Amino acid sequence: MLTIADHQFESRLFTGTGKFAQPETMLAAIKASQSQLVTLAVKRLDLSTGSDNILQPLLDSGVKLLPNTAGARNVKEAIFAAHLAREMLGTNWVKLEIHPDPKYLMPDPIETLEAARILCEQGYVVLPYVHADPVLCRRLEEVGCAAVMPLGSPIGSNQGLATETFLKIIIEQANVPVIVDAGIGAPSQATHAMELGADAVLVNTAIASSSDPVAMGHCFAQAVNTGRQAYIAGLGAVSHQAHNTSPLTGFLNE
Amino acid sequence: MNKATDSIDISINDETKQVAINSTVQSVIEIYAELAGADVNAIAVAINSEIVPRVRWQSECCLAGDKFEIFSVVAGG
Repeated sequence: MLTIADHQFESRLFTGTGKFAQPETMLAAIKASQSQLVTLAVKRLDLSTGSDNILQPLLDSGVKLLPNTAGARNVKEAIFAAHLAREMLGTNWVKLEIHPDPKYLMPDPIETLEAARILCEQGYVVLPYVHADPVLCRRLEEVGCAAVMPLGSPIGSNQGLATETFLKIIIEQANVPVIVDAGIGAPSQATHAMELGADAVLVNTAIASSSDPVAMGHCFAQAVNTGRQAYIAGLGAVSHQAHNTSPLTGFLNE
Repeated sequence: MNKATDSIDISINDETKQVAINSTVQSVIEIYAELAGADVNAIAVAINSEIVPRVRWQSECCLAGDKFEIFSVVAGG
């Protein structure tokens, strides 16, 4: 069982709600994924086209909601987004993300650390999306973040764990849950992240952009579970040389 | 009564709108958010860059020139 702040999760797969072709597909894929924590965004209402109205069906499905601050470019905007989300959803949980660069969506570490410090002081449960920077993750932990969410590769890129070396260091050092977020493009990559000892993974694009998101949601559920079980069981040591698994007694000649 | 005296201009998400004098925040949201098909339970409002908590929507009135920003929940990762 994974515990973040005072909340327990049976599933270690968190999911995003973006990029699905239809809200119904999103809801069905989340159900198939068995995810219990899903992200949402906050946006100015378009008076002519309205909004998705995805909130009520998500609430009805029983998942916990994690609003994000996507679109925020600095501390001030991120805090404003967190306050809006709390007003809207009645939750003090927030996925803090500040990425001013629209091409690579790289999280701004300086703005993120300062926003995290302020939001933690204000009583928020802060889950910051950051680069896989072990020093930054320590600093975020020190200011009171409930978890850290280092990226595997750029958001939505499906490139997998490009940051593996640094994820290992973060996992080794962290005293709060480590959730590998962004870039996980295949169930095998989710398994790998869990085998490394990640506490959870967050997946959105890989499920939403599959030609069968519901089936893919189910695949990710199995992949995350398998990776976690393998981590608990303990992986065998890696070595350069071969080590025989059968006796080498040359029995044909004896 | 002259229309100019019983209505005021406010802006909602950068669009200028006329509303009756003494309109409550609640009534403005009911008109515009509901017209846009948004779930009013999934709305937050800032007036002049300050978030107005839901508990004050009934008691707070609009003033001429107020800048409303209405936010809603959308899908996101």
